[in-house]
Amino acid sequence: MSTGAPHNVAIAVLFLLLGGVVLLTVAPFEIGTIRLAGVSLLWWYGVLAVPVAAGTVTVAALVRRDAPHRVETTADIVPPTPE
Amino acid sequence: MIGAWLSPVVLAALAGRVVAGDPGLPTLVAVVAAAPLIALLLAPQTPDAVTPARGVADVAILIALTLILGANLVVLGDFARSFGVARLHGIVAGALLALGVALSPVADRAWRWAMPLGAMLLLLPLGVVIASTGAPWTVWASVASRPALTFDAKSPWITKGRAFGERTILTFQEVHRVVATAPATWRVIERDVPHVVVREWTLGAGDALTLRPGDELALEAGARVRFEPGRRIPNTAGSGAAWADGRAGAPRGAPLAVLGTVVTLVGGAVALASGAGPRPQGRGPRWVTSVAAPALAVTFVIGATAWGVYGVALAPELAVTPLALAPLVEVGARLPATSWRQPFAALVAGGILALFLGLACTWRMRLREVLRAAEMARGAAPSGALAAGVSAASVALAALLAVQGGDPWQWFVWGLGVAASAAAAPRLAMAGPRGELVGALVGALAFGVAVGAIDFAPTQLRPFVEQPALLAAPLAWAAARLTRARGRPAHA
Repeated sequence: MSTGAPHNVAIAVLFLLLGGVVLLTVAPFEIGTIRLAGVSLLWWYGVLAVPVAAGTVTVAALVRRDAPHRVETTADIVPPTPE
Repeated sequence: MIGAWLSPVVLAALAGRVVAGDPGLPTLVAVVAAAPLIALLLAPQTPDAVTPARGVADVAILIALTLILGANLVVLGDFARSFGVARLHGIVAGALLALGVALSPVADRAWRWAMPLGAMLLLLPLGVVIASTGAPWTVWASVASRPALTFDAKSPWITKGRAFGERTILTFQEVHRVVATAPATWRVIERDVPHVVVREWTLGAGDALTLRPGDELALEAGARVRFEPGRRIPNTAGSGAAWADGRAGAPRGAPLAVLGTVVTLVGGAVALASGAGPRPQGRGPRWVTSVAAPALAVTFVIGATAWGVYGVALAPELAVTPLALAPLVEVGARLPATSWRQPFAALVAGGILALFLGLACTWRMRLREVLRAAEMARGAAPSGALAAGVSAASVALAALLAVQGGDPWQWFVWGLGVAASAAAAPRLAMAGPRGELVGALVGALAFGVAVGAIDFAPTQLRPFVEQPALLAAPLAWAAARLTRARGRPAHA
């Protein structure tokens, strides 16, 4: 897998998360106003879930990009010891 | 680039919109949080590459940087007013600070820590508020269950009265006795359908006027007023539930308007994200970009929203005079422990100052990057005098813009919009230099036309005028792609 792939996946996830907010705002029966623990679903999702999830996904993708990639070189190949 | 996000204007906009009961607030928070993260993910992975000059796109970036700085200066002006200092003084002080950062050679090295420091300084007092008032979700639920948002007996608007900084029209929802604490002439608009009657009242200090539901009271700047305790606050949602569900404002997030916000903020963030310019001092260690920057951006956005929630809980009358950053100042003044108020105000002021310095530092780096690219394209050596001249001109323009006033969020969004339309969209089209140039020209032109049409556009086109990038960015992208397609040699 190329190093660009996690990035593209992360960007897609972020747009999906944003799409969820739009869905909640236009959903029928005002689903976004349903209260969970006293707070509306739209607020839980838009103000807490999206930022936290987006931040987590971004950190994961960036850390993966920055992690050193092991490249096998001739130095890694241990010559067979003569018996 | 994160500096543009962790700036006073974003803090003021989010907190202010919470207080006002903006129905689109959750969507805005989500987009504001996600936009810089998308830009971070799209940022080039080769820091050693040289940013190529992009002509029109670079001019658009310069305009965007000036608008963003201007928006933050407007906020600084309002912030100064909250402390009793003249607005102009706040703007001038901010402009001088920005100029100092722009011309200082140590800015890149020393002041890039200002932004995280500012965010910390603003999160610290928020922690005090949480400890003394309760968790944000508890406070939100408590406000949402109030039958009405009313004036508290301890509010300064009740105890001694306050002055309006600018011309204001108040719409009353119930019978309300308003007292003039200084001589003034008030205009009352009585809307008894089908007749609308406008009456002028000349009042002396201590004179009262009783307004009926639906009446509007027009007050000139400087009018001093005292309201009635326990009465509904004019210009706010009728109840806590109406505030929570955003029934007070415009219809919640029409999909086109939301799309416009996404295009503007994400496109603007991508455009403002550093090219890959050689900035050995400006680019921090990898963990800063990978972990600290996203974490800080998310915490800041959630924190700004929480400030608004505490603002509406402790000082709901903030909606009467929507001064930028007023929630941060007022929340501290309403803390139960009076001994905390002074250090609280100092922390908030220090945090805003540090955030502004961080913004100025980011602004300087991006500006220099654009100028350096332009000079390298001409084959000239980097000129310190040119950079200083352009920086000074940009600060002067931003200060002039701020003195004129207006909605700082609008300036900020226009700044991001022009960058999204004339810089990000053509670049994302990957159409080569010629395609990018054509795309940038089309994007800039379309953006200008949309902004110019703001006063006479029909209702159906409002989303395109309010978020001009919604129209301009796709046009710029399409123009760039078409130019590339036409420029290809025909295959036999």
